[in-house]
Amino acid sequence: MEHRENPTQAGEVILEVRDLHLEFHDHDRPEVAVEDFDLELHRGEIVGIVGESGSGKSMTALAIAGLLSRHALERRGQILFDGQDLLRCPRSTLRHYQGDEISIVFQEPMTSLDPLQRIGRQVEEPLRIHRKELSAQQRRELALRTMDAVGLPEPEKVYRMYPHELSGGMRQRVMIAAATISRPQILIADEPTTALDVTIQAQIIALLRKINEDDGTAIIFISHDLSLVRQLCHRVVVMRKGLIVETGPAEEVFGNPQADYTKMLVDAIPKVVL
Amino acid sequence: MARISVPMGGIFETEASLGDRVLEASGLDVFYRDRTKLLGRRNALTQALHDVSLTVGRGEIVGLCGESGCGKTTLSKAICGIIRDFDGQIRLAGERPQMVFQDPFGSLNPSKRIGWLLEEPLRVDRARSWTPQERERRIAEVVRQVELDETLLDRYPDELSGGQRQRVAIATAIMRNPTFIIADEPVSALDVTIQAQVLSLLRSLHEDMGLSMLFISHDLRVVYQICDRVLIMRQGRILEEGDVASVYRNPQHEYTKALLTAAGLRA
Amino acid sequence: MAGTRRSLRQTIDRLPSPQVFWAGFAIMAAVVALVLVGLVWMPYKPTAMSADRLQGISAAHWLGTDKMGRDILSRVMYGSRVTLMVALGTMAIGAGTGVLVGAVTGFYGGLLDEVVMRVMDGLFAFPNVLLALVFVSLFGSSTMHVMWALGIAFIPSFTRVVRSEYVRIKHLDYVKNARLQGASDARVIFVHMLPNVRGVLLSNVMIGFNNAVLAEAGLSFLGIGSQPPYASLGQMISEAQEIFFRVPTAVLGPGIVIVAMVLGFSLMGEGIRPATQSLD
Repeated sequence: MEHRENPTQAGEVILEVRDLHLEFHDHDRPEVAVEDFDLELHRGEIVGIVGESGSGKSMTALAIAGLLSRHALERRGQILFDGQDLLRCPRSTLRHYQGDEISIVFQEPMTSLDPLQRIGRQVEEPLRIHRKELSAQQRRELALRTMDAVGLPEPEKVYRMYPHELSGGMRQRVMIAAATISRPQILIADEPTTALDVTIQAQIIALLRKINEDDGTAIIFISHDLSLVRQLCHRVVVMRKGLIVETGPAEEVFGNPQADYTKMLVDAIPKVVL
Repeated sequence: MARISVPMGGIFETEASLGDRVLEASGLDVFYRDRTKLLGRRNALTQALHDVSLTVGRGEIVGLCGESGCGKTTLSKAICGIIRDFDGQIRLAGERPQMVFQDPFGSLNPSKRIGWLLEEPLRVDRARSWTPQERERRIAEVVRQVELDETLLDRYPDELSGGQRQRVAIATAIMRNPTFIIADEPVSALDVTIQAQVLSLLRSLHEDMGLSMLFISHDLRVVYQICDRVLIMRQGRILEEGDVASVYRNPQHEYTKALLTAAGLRA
Repeated sequence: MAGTRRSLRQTIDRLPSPQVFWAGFAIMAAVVALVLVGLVWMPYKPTAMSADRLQGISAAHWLGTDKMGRDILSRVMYGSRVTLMVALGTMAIGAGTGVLVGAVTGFYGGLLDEVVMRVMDGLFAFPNVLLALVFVSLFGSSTMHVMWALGIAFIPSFTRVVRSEYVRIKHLDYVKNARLQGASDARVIFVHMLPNVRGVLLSNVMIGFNNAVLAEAGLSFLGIGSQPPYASLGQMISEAQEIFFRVPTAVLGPGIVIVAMVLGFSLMGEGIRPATQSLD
């Protein structure tokens, strides 16, 4: 797959996760969700985190996005971004980055949009928070440009619509537009295509690749779908039960898996010989 | 010969003599109307199926492929008699087929124990009555067949893993020893490793019991693994059909090509 | 093996707030104990008058006596029995009918559903007190008639709750599965579906019980319901208004029992509610 040059060596490290350890305490017995998780994310890189349910991949993503609730949870380790430890910095600092430097797109585009707000307003929301200096006119222009960039047809019209008037794929594009309008350094995509049809899935993957190539946005792509990760990601982290099983360039990990678990995952993909 | 005629003139026939086939459906049209209010105007009709015909042979697994809203769920509901308002003809060699649903969390009653759920198809069997001893023997047999741990019979569905639940769902579907079942996205909600196990279970049931299946899936890789023949559906119509290898190798329709490309099976 | 059988006790311990439930349970147990003791033993006959009028707390009359010299503790024990019976009867009529009607209309939908729900709306719009007054003026004032009137007034709220649960559940795959297997409609409605609305039903019964206690107390305060010299709690409070400052226990005694009943059931309902919400 020649279109994917790995920028790992080229870019500087923009995010570093060290010894991340997450533990729930809301049950009788503490439950370890993530253990000894390390990650270096380089500028312009797409890293995939793969694993089955209960692997801790989504917890890791939420931790990096600063979206884990702070009670009932024991957190150790560091998430370093812009000289700050996101696990420990004050909430105000965290809010300063959220939606501006670090954005997240979730699996379910139906529930992550506010049904009562027009699309335009929801796409602009990060600007209202982080770019207060912009006028309404400037916000609108930027929103329309971003909506066009994510492939929403007739942005002017969609701008005035409500979420229920759009299909699942279109809603996911709206989510991506809202997440990228402030040109974040890092985009976290948590199973962004799982709820979508296969042909739409392929379009969203292509869109993520385009955003990465055009803006140099680093992407952390969380998925259970190995073939999607293989198509999109430069580097991959395989997780199981909260632990990293294997990590490396995507082609190597899937082409020549070392860990037994990775082999099992790769073997479980239905083979098609045409 | 049981014949249930329904509005719109559709014919639904079970226990028909079909020779080497278990299902023959022809010319199916299904219309939906949004909820009709007591007062107020009637909403417009939408057509969910357009002149759909299909057959499933004895011991054959037929894949039904398409994306959401293509009519595959409507078609399966018509075949198992949940939807009665159709036009056309559905003829089945046996009783109404049982279904295995996508989400094993939703298809098992959360307030019943696994043992109770497995026994229910036998308790409500209209074809014959089962003595308690016969039921017990049959349950033990099927539990072995689907490789389910017998200690799970006392548990509730929420105490089982996704894979175990789907085995229970399959067990209830084959409890009355049918010749034909419908599997509606049976592995889509499962992790890949569990997916492989459930697929191989379905394969072995097919081989051991000669079970015929209509296998509904959006995943062309999974369909390739398990099906003999495949139908590609879109917007209520069947676009293309044929044996899996030839459709995949030589797709005729643009949409089929797009699906194959999206699944990474075509450049 | 642990976890294979789920007793009621285990179900309760799995609730997010079992402590709240048990606190309510303890309060209710105390009230029920008072009523049960009253069945076999009371210090005095609740209607027996004596010359010892308007007495304060003493060894002979733990809660004192009222203006006719009747023992207040005995009357509270008797009154609690009446109030509890009315509340239970009301629930039996309201919840029983509500479940039946709600289940059937929710399951079948269609014209039947529309018609029945409009009737329920009409019934719901009718104030409880007014309905009770109509009942009492038609059939005469008695505890039994108040129970029926309240029971009927409670039907719509249960019908609605149960109906909306059935509408939600009937589209789930396990219900489709049961029908596919050939289970009769009655079996699907009562054997397959009913156990899955029990959570919502239970917390509504708890709340409904509260309302029944308060409604009965309110009605008997107004003089509708059980007739003197027999007492229910509300009636006792009504009668004791003028002697409140001389014998405070005449109001506090029945008042505390009413509060305990309402609090007990509220806490039990509150303890159960989160579990029912996480069921889906």
